[in-house]
Amino acid sequence: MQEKESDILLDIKNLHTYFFTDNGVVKSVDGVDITLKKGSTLGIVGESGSGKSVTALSVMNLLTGTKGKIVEGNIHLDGKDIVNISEEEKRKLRGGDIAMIFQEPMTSLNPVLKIGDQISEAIIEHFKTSKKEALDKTIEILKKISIPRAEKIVNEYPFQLSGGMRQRIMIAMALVCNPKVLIADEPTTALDVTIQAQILELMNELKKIVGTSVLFITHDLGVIAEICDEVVVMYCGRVVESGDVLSIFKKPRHPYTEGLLKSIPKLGEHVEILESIPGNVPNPKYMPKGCKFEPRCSKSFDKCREEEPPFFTYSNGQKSRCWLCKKEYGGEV
Amino acid sequence: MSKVLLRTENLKKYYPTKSGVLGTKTEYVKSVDGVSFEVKEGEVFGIVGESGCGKSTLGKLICNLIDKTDGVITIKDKNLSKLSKKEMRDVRKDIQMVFQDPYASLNPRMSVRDIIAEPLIIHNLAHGKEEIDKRVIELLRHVGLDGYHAQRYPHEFSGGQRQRIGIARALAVKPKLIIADEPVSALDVSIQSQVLNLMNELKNKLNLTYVFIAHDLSVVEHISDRIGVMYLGNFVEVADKYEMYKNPLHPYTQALLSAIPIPDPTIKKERIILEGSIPSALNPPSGCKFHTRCRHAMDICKVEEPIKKQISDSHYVFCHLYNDK
Repeated sequence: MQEKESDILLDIKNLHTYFFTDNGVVKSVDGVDITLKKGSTLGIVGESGSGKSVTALSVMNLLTGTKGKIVEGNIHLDGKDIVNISEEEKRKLRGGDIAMIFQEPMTSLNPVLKIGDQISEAIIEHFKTSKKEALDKTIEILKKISIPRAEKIVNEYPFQLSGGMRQRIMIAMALVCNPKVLIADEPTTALDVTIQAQILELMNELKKIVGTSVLFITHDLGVIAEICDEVVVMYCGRVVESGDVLSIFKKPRHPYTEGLLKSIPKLGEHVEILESIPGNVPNPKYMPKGCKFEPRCSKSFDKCREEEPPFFTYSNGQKSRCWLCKKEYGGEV
Repeated sequence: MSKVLLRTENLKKYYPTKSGVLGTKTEYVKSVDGVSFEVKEGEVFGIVGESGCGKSTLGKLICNLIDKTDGVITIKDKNLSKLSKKEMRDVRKDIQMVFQDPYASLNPRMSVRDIIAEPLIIHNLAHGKEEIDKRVIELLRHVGLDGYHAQRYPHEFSGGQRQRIGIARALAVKPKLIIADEPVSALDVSIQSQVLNLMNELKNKLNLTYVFIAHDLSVVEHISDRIGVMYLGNFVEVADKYEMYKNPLHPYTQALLSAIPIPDPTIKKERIILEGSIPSALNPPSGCKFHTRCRHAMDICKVEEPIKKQISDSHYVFCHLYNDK
């Protein structure tokens, strides 16, 4: 299936983001391709250190001031390059066309500013409105995402709110400028399950009302199944498998995805022993030469140790970076 | 019927806080508010609940890491509050704890050998360097690590390996009961399943009893035989895991179960969305503490605290819906 060029909203091609630390170069993101279609929700799943958050930060252009740098690759939003642009243009983009929600709502909100001021700040910055107009718009947005007592909450401080409410404020803040892309980096990880359910429902509703495309980063496959249309599985700075959510959960083509799916305990399913992936994620300084998952893979063979597999694409659009797929195709390995 | 290993009766832990204009008024945060339950030998009892429900405080109370406000804890028919210091030390050997954060619960300046040897030395379980070393290596092998790991320091290990070290340390004194407080919640999914399998294996091999505390119901359901659901300092429902999943009775348990995202996109389940968040333990609602968020709240729930209603041998619930009028 060839997607129409105009359907693609965010196009990440061959992205390499490296961190130049005192102890050497850490290749956090090493050749990542992700395409986000208009109106769809794409989940990026992976374990700590897989590069999922760094991918998001690269898109947001938030690496300035860190040791990280995009060394190769491009990111296009609606056909426009967003990597090689001036600092001024990047500022306009952040919070404008691309907005982000972070994991920890307490540390992402400014504790000494009133909620209303924090949300209006983005409106004033991007639309050059008066303070009064911005505050009216803020209240309107808060009402739109069904926050109770919107008029009162704008005069309160973050510490007066619960975790779930703070995350709602973060969402409101991200939405004030009608972004084309919303990046949500583990937005429900710090929340209790019942609150997580509230936030997920809110995000699902927003998709319908606002029509924003969402890049949803999480380590929780349950959340992915719940909210995403498409999935990208990352391991060691690479995408190892991608496809639509139904195909991937039904028949994962990469042993890592398969292992992840099998290793989570499922409610109501009573097994004595969980299948697990042996070993640990390799140290980024000593990456295996061939397939990065090979040392932990139960199905690996000689070829995997020698050469890193390319992507193999299936007819349903599912892609997997594994030599086994070539075998499945009837190809020689 | 196996014997009861741990029993608590009306266990309470109140934390005083000063309030009022001059700090003259003392109020209490009722973290654990009258918990009674039993754990049988060889059983895994899972405690699940949201943050602030008192599950960790309950774990620490059982381990005697904090003093209780009121109530009784008995281990193997010994009432912990009636023991002398020396007797208490012996009992402590039987109860060990595994903590949530494997980064914070290991002393970074001690080698793995010293970490695991410490309880052996304190409790006089091994004498002389040679015997201690032998035992340490044996314990490391138990938890899937190797003898050469003994000379290393905590920072050289990954999260999963550190949690294994924490488990080895707990096992050093040959405990009967292990209180595991969120032992896998800081770990990645693939590592989480390794540690869960290890805990299961050790339980069978060493005949252990666990109290397994976690917020993740799927994890608790996987490892436990019986599950207790806590809300604001009390159990609201206790049942064996099959029963809990098939026939949850308390509206809170039902909501909790329905809130868990299922890793299968073909299942679209009817979700019970609870409104608001858990009330402050400083000022809990009157009557049934859950009534402010309950879909089925009746008038009686606001005034009267529900009493324990036994549904079957292994299933009881605290809810007015099931009390015959």
